[in-house]
Amino acid sequence: MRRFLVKRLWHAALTLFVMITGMFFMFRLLPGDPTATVISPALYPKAQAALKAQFGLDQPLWMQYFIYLKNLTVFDFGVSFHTLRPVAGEIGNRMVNTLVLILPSMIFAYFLGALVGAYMAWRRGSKAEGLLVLLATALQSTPVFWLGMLAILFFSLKLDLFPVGHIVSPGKFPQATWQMYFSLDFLHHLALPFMVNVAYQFCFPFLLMRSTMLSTIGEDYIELARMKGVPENKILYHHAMRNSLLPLATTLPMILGWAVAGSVVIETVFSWPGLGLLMVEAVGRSDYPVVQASFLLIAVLTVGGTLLADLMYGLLDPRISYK
Amino acid sequence: MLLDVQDLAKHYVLGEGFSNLFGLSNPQKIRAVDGVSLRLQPGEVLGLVGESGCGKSTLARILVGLELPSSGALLFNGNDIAEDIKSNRKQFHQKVQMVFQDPYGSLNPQHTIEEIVTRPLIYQQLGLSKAELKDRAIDALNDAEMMPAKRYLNKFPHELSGGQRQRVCIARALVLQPELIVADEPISMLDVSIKWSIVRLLKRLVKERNIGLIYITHDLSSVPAICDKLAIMYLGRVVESGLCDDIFKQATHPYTQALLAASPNPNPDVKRGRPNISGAIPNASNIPTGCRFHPRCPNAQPQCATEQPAERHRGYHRAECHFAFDVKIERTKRA
Amino acid sequence: MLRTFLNFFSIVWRSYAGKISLIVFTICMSLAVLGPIAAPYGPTERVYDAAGNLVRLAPPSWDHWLGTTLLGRDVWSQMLWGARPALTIGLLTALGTVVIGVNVGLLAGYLGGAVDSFLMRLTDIFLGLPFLPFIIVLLSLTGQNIWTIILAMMAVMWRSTARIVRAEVLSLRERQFIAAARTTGASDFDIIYREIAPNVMPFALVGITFALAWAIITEASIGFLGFGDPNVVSWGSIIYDAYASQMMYRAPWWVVPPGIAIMILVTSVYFMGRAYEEVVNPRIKQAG
Ligand SMILES: Nc1ncnc2c1ncn2[C@@H]1O[C@H](COP(=O)(O)OP(=O)(O)OP(=O)(O)O)[C@@H](O)[C@H]1O
Ligand code: SF4
Ligand SMILES: [Mg+2]
Repeated sequence: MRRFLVKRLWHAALTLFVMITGMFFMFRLLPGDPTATVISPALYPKAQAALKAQFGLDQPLWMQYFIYLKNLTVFDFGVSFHTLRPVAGEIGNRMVNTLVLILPSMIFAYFLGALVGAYMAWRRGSKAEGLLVLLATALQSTPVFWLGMLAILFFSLKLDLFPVGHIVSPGKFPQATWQMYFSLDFLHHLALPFMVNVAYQFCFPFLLMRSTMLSTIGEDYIELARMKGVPENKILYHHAMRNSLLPLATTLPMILGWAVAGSVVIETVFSWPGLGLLMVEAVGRSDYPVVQASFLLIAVLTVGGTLLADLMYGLLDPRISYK
Repeated sequence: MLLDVQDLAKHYVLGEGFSNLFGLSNPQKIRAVDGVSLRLQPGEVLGLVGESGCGKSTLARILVGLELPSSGALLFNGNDIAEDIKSNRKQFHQKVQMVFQDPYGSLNPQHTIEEIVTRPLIYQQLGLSKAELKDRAIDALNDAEMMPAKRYLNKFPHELSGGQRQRVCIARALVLQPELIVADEPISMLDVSIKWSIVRLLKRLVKERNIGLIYITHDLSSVPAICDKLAIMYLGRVVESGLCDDIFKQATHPYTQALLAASPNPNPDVKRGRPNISGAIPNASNIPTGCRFHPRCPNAQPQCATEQPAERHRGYHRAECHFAFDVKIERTKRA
Repeated sequence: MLRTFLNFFSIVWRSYAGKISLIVFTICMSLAVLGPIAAPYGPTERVYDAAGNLVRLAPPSWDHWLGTTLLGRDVWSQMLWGARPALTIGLLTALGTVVIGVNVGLLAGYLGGAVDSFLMRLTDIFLGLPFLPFIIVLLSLTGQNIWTIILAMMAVMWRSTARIVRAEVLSLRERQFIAAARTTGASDFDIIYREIAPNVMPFALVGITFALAWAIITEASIGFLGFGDPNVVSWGSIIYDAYASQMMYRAPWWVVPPGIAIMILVTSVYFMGRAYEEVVNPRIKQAG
């Protein structure tokens, strides 16, 4: 058990390390000079050299790499080429914004998907089931950003129910950041991206729950319970569902991680100032310290999700030996 | 001499490896084959008989080169082939072929019969043309009595019956024109009605082409119909060997006698019970001292528990028992 | 190989949902092939009326079935042109993904030991990689054309096929027909590619369909984020143009059709994949 844990942690750390290293060298070795935007080639050579020194770009590559690693250990992500301020200052808030959007909507979508999936497995073969499966598949096949745009088109522009985007109304930004998350204005802004994300993320748990339920329902002990006269809904929720929860529970963290990675799209549609949007903007501005930092944080979340999923699977599934 | 096996052994060591570096587990030694000697002439059928777990399949896998022996010598036409298997695997496999127990599991489900039978020729890189490949496949199928062969070429294994599948396995073995075939329980998974035809087919092929055949079975009933010689295995060793007739008429090892007693009817239709001896076959990782059969032997004497019996023989008839060919004991037992 | 492929269509055709999705998919394929020929206008052609004025944001009419864009482009024509990149990018990516994934899975599963550990660590790394962010970064560094888009997607997507195939190979290699092949003189290469590979083809085909679905959506997302090939009109880039113009409200006919097209195409791909998987993967079949 301990060995299993240590091994998984070590693998996750290795994964992150390889990603950090890969990212670092990708930026510096691939064609295209990302520093061109800050250090304009039009500047005097002296000015160029001074700027390079300021960003540490005058050091040999491997020195830059070690300095970068060393700085990472104290959460120093360097200085933004765009704002010329430390990246660490902004990125924490951005991450919270992303999580505030993704976590609740994902967890809600998961519960909803599981319940509906279980119910539809019970009503297998009915018209409602066929329709819902079709609907869920269609939703899964729809680009989220398009779904978001339709939502904006209808709920914001046509019905004027929700704001078009952003996290709070302009000028209403509160004194302290934390206060924002408790304002009605914030919730008003959250509603639409939340709903869209739920609609999109609902499909996976729904389809998974339905198919695992269907295979559980066919098993002997369920038949037995039915023969013993246990009421149908009791069988559904006590017997069949409990056994179908394992694959669902163990995939949740991984899907969460992937949803964070997918947040680039939904945040862009709703101009939601999260990590994903930050990254897209930074890529557009060639602000690579910011790109690296935001990518790294997203990677921590996805790798963490995969790790958690693995650990949960190891803990919950009695068939797995801790190897 | 086509095949001459001398004192062949295969020992598996379990629980070795990384954890053992720290002395966390003590490795277990499984003596699956523990000093076997066999001889076979071309055109001869040697039956290898023994209970489940006595090491028959392990021996077979070594003979066809799927595994390397831990010790002992393997002479093929007088040459040591242990080296051949390592350095010239392809050629070695051309001479020795195997027919497996499970005719479904030993055919690739995604291949047609034609592909299955021609693959050996392709793997051997004989440089045959497509037409030649097909001809050879048809010949091999005809030889295995899959007639008309053409009708089966494009079929898949799942479209055939068990007996037909086993014929395809035999055709696959024949297509390389081997000198030795090892058949590991080739009829044990077949329907009763076709067992005999497969046995007859094997016998005919061996005699017509002068191939050597090692016929492995845990079931004595099919033995008289096909075997010339017999070797009885117990816990990784051959405890009695000789001409088929001699053993059936004058079995001298108590284990052989028990096996024979449990199978009065040389007819494969009759399901056979376990040998008429007490207890189960011991684990190959924990072989008894002295005579390995002594915990179950009805004739065991005190010396049997400590002294390993030497081989005794009368002509070609050999047995590993302190009292083999001992007339007095035979008499007292009969009385 | 070819056999498994043909078998795919016959299996999909057997089920009701499979039949419909196969028809829908075929229609999309023919659009991709014939669309540009049938399109009344070029993908970036600006349409002028008789008086010589640009036809901006015209609602659907007989002349412009799906209306026009802010720059006076015919949406219906753009839709027809956009099918081809969506499907070529999707199919090439799916194919490449599966080729890499199957090979990694075969080698890891069959060779085992250090090769397996290495390849599986690599798969873990890619499994933890944030998909879209990575592709965006890669595209921003390597330039944006459909080839880099395909390569970038392939670089990430092989991971799941590799895992599935490896698990399958682990059990296949213990089967008796592998030993049988070995006794006839098959080399490791023969065993991997001639004996085992045909048996993982069904998994590869399931992989292809799901990779195709993913690739189409991802290509659209890349286009929407503004990282698509600027010279190619795809369904994703039409949506991006509409979004960037901020004219969605005035021209829903511009936004809605490309999204629906993606939805229909990907749904049909998913249903084909599932219809096939239900038959070849008995565990799921049992459930149905
Ligand atoms: N790869 C292996 N590793 C460890 N032990 C093994 C291995 N292969 C076989 N054994 C052991 O060797 C012994 C002999 O096995 P083998 O398969 O040769 O018996 P068998 O006579 O063919 O039995 P059966 O009639 O059941 O086929 C058994 O105790 C088995 O557990
Ligand atoms: S040596 Fe002893 S124990 Fe072994 S078979 Fe002969 S009589 Fe039985
Ligand atoms: Mg055996």
